[in-house]
Amino acid sequence: MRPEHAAVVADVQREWTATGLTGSLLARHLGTGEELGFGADEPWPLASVVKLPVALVVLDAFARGELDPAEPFDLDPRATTSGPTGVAAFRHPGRVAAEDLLQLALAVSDNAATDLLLDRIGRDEVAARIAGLGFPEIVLRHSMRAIYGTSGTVTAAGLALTGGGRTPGGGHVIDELDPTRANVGTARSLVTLLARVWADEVGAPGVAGRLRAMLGHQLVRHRLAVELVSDEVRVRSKTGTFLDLRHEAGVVELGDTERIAVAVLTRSAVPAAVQMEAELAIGHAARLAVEALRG
Amino acid sequence: MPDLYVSRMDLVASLRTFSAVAHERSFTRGAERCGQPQPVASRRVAALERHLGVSLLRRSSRKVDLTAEGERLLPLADDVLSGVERIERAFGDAEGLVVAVPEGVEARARAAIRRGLPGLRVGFTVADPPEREVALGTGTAALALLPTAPDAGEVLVPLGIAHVDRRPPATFHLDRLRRPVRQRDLPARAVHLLAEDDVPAVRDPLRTAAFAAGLRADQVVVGTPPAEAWTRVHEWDDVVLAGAAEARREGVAWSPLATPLVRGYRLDGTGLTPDQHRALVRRLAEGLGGEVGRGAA
Repeated sequence: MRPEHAAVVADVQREWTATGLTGSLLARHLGTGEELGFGADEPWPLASVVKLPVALVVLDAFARGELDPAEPFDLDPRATTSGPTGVAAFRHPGRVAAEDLLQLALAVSDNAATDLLLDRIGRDEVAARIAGLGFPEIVLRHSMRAIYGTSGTVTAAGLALTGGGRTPGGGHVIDELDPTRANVGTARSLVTLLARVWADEVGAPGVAGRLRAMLGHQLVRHRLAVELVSDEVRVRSKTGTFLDLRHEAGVVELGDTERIAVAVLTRSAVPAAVQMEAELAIGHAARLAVEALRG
Repeated sequence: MPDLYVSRMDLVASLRTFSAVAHERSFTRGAERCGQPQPVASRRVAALERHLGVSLLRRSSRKVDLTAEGERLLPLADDVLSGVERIERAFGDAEGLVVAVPEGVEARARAAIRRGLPGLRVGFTVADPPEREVALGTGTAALALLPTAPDAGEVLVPLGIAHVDRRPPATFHLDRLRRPVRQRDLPARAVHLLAEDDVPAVRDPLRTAAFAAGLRADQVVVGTPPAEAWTRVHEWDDVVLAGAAEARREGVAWSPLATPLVRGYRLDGTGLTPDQHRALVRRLAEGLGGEVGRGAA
């Protein structure tokens, strides 16, 4: 990291502290390889960011002919994983193709769609394939069912508990917040995954390009992208939000040439569900990192 | 090892005489202050000097000076004497009835309380909630106004927001303190909670309301010293959680909170008849700009 980047890191950490955030940040210029950040090797519960490596495995299964992208999945609202978006919010039976489920899982973080695909391939098999593709630091241990579908009261209790629930050694009383029992990854493993996707160096031919396209439909624009996006600047990314966790990993595409991968994994000390100050602090950090790295 | 020229009880009396003479720089005035004839005062100081084996005072015709040993002893003696005074006040009824109260009981109310309890020689000690509890526990105060859940409170002080906003709102919604997205370089306006409100029944709901309104972690500051908090109101447009009377005293505007918050107190301790207790509760409520709660029924 260049000395002038230390000042950027200090600025980010100061604002995060004021906001009540702690976290990891890693930005890597995919052309020069230059990096900026902190805490990049710290393991974090990934929340919905885990849908990024899951998508890679599913697309790879499509490309290898193991799973038909057009395979229909029957949706039974009584059985599907609950969630605020996508088919998870459906109230009536329906039928959706595998590839469309995957698009919903990435664009609107659809929990039911993700679990249907995980169940189809097998969660252990998906976990093994993530490691097999070269990302052993990213560990899949549970489905989306485990962390969502909780009532408002449980969410409120969970929010209040997040700070007090930590145990010695970095553990947590809530499984899905404990790095030894949750789906985990590091900022560096996510940036490395994105770098290989953007370099077409992962999975069967065509997989990387398809994943890049699918990541371009991200609906959440008030986090990583808030101070970056314009007609000139695209952000292709995947978010993760659970209780006190606010994450996003993606690639900032500046014009036609420059590509900067950014992973931000954060925890908030503020016990509230909606925290625009935290979102904006993450967005500002991403913007500072991108400005520091771009040519 | 000093010889026993003075017994331990006399030691306190000797120290009291020495302290009075030393502060007055005169045997005559020092003796007067202790209510003793001057020869008694002289004998007591002399006995103390023999007891400690040092000379404490240099006597000249016009005034009295302290020796180096006297200078060393004086603060130690004063410490002992104030400790003795606390002990006497704690156990001796004759010293009067001390009530531990929060900051801000108006003078008019204090006078009314004294008039209402004639013969009890009522005194007041002003302290933060934890110290009031300690004062009651150690007997430094016979009665204390202690924080409690509002629904069990005998004295209730409705809280609102003290501020200097130019257009004071009828109701203060905490999201007024959110930073405009376009002015994110400005310092975030904070809501300050004084030590008086660092209690679960006030602090926790206020924090929950503030964060639910979208405020940042550093926009809720608990335990700001009062002078600093009120300075920041004028310096940075910060706001203070306060009763209407406190805001009036500081000369700033006050608006009630959208979700009402109340300081609840119960009057704990002994030494009053039920009628006296009720009267004291009513006057404390008036003196704090509050009202009598259901807990007083």
